[in-house]
Amino acid sequence: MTSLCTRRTWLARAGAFASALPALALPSPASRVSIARCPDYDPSRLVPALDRMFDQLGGLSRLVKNKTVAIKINLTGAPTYRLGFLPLGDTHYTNPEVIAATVHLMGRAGARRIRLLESPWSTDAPVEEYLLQAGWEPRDILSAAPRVEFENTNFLGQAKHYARLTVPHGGYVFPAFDLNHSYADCDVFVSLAKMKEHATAGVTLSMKNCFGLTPATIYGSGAGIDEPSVIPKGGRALVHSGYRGPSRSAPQEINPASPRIDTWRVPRTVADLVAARPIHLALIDGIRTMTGGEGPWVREDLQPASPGLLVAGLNPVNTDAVAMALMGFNPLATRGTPPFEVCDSTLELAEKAGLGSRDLSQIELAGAPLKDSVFDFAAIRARRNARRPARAAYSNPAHQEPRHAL
Amino acid sequence: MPRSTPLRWPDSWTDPSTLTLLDGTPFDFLFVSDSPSLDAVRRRAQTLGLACAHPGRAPASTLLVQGEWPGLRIEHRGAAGSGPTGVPWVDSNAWRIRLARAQNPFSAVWVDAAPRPDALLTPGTYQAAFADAASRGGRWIVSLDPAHASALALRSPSAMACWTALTRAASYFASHSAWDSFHPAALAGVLSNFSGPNAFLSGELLNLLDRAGLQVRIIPRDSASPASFDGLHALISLDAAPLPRHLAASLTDFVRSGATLVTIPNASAPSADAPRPSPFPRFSLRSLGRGTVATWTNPDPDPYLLANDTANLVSHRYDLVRFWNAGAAGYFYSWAPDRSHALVQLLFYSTRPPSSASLRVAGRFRRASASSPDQPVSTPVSAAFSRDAVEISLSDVPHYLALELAV
Repeated sequence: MTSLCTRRTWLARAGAFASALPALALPSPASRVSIARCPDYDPSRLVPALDRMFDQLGGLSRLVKNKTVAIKINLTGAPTYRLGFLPLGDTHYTNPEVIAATVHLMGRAGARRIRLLESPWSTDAPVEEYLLQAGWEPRDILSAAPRVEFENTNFLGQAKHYARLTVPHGGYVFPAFDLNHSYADCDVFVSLAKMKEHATAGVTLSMKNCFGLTPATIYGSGAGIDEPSVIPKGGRALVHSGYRGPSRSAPQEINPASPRIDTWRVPRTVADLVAARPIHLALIDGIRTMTGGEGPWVREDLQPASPGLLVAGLNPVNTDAVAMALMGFNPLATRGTPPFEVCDSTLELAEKAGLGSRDLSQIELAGAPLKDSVFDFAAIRARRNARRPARAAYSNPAHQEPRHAL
Repeated sequence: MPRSTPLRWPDSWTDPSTLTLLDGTPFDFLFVSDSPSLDAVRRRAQTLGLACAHPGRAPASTLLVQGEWPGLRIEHRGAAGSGPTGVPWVDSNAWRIRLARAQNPFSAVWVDAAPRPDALLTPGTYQAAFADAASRGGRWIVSLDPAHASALALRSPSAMACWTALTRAASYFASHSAWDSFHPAALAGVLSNFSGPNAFLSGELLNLLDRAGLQVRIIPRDSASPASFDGLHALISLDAAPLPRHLAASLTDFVRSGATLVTIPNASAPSADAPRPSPFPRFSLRSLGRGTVATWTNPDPDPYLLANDTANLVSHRYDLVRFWNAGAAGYFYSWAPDRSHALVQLLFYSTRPPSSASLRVAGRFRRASASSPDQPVSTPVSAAFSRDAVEISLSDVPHYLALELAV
């Protein structure tokens, strides 16, 4: 991104804030993470693979029986954007077959109600209409189990009020968030993510998927100043760059003097969101995806990829750490090391906030052996980086909004 | 309907020899200003059999429509102002032409739209400007940018390249004038008198529904009949004046049979049951037979929201065309009168069309072929045919492409 902040200023500010991190360091839980190899989205292979994974995690019914389950899926970017000619579910959206299979298994495990949540780009239209534009048939998902529904969480929705979710450790950027009621009105929260690199956050896995929890009516470029806007408009540039605060009715930033840089802010905001809205089940679709970024709009050498992987765990930090290792990255990597060359590690921040360990030696693995399952995003990234003199700063046109002097 | 290809003669072209630029082109009607310096041009043109008229004076059975330069409204440093998920704003005269043709079915429609001073003019954008009108059965009164006209008179290579592109487009559409009589495919109808207090909202809605991807049938009230609603999923009727009794009864039957009526609080609409839960926050939904009366909750609607909400209400499940990676694009889907084949015309308004666009066209087809002004011979394109649609992948598309789909 472009910024008014010089590198020297940034280092000074970031250093000051980094020094506050040890005070946040909390014990990091570790739990089992399951890995499955699955070559494609054929339900005859996908459903048994997921079923085995959930069994390896202790059984799905123990988690969802008689519960309202909220599943945050990843539908980043407009449904009219494809990587080349490929379907969106094969590159940057959570694949609809994975969603349907998960819904089916949750229904079979006794979930009382299954709610599929996403904040589609700049609209308050029903999620189903968004999916149709992508070329999906939402009925295939809605009929995969009883009592399944979608909700667009990019605005107030059918509720009368936003739900306030507080960050227990106090927060890096935000102490609390005002979110669509769906994130509070559930017994079990699932992040059903896509395995991808990310231009601003290095990787996007189960935790980064939760960036989309924030409604654009409060956190979007068209958010109301005093109160939330009625209609969501634009992306979350104000969270990315901090050029303004969220609607005043919502909790404001802890320190408005903190760096106004997306590679600093986004990982921290994600860690805050995951702390405020804990993830009970993290599931990552890495069967087919893309390398080089989170969506076709990223100015990189983007390529489709078929890692043939599924990753699931009950702790999102553990799960993302295993997913990073499967991508060929070191989950203990910090800023300056791939894939965090220019950003902070959400995993590190989440670990320091006590959300979970990213240390593979602490994480019990089940299913396919990790070492035999690696799809080397890191090597592809290294080759990509080697082809240019220096890594170009990421510039997302949607985020090029007015920036105020620091 | 008279078929001519009009050109606005640049005032700077005072030398009659400039008429040689028209040799071999379909331009046969010149708008020439009354300036005495153009007398010689007028005389020579008439001897060449070219019709001449003063600008603003249309020939018989021809309707002049004041339009705007079609293309991207916002450009930043030469690039369209689009985000990863946004679509750039495109000015188009498509809706004006379609409305004029619906209201005057026996007249030719010519659009008067000079290039904007800040428009980026390339062979491609000139072709897109021509196709913007021609794809909807109208004709752009070709108007050259003054600097371009001067350069063209001097036969500068870049000016000639634009001129060649323009004349190719003109020839291409002149040879496909049968397409002008094709019937537009539509999911919804817009019923209005399109005048007086209804002119702004109904016109703006036509413009914005097109952008929202909902292709509509334009139904002027004074020529509406029960058959006007045939095959539609929905009807948008916003005029306050009551419908004639026979039309009101037809509209009620249409909704009762399972269709959706989109209306606003002050508009004339049939009575329906009590409101039921609505997933659309700005629509109150009431049942009428097997259909739905959807009333916009605000009596003074924002046309942009109304258009987008209507597209969602009708549902993208029934999209006639879905377009991926299209960017600043438009399309027009129509059928041959004998329904032997369909035509989907694609327009890309940006200076550089996408390298990998794909589209899904609803309908059952067996063959697909494509042509353009630069490749006028229709050639087969690879396509994935399914029971209810065809999906076509397009690499390095030109500014205009016609897809012919045989059933």
